[in-house]
Amino acid sequence: MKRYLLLIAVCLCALCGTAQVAQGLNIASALNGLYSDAPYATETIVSGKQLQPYNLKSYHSLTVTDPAAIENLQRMVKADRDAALEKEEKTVGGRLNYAFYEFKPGKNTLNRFVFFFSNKSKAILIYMEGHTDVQTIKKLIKK
Amino acid sequence: MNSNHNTLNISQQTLEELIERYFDATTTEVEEECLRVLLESGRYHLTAPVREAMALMSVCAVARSRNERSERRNRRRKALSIAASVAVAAVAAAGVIFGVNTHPTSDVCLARISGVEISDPDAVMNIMEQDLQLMSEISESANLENQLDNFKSIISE
Repeated sequence: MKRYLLLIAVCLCALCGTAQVAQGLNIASALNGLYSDAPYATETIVSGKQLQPYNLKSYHSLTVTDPAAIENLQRMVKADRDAALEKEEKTVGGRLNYAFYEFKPGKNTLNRFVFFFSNKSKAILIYMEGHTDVQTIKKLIKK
Repeated sequence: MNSNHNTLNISQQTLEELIERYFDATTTEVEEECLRVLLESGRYHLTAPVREAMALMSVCAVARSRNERSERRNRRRKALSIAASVAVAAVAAAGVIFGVNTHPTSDVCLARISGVEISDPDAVMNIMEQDLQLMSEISESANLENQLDNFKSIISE
């Protein structure tokens, strides 16, 4: 019986774990519901056929206007900086103003990209996954 | 083995001698097996020693049959337990392998603005396009500024 319970627990953990995006990154908590119900947040989640024209599998964006949330996102993105394979950054007065990072693929083997922008009044975090490369992603946002 | 037993043929007297030795506990395992087969054959007169031996042997047979049934049940339980464990492990593995791969491709298209959910795909895609457009402008501006900074640092050198 104990063996069944353990296996069922493993099964549930595995299934629950798959529902997370940006696994292994510090920004994961922000993208997995931390600000979902916040009155100062806008969240966009798209995956599947809607993203076929973009050659992406998953798109997740979060915009916050609350100063504390902006600071929190700053901290999270900065904490992920070292894990980035490729990075483009612009800092203003020690604060991250703009960042583009590419991370090594997660368990699902999809390439992972993060865009971040922050000023005093808002912060935007965009997370994308797909079998695509940096150049394609950059072209995508410069269309 | 059974075919050999079926060909066993001894006299009533020899049978009763064998029974007597059986009761004296001096028979070998093979002799006991032969005795059991002979008694089951029903070819002998049911004298008192034969009846006693049959009664005793049938008790043994029932006990053996019970043990075998119990063993079979245990074996079946063990097999079911292993099968169930394998099935659950397979589901877990499928969750890991397929769940990870299928989640991003499952169709999701929603936005939450101040906690209010929007599920109209056109509206959601519009928000996404706006985000990407904004990021495009920011990226270009950042690149230009970086280039300008680099240019300034080269001139100052």
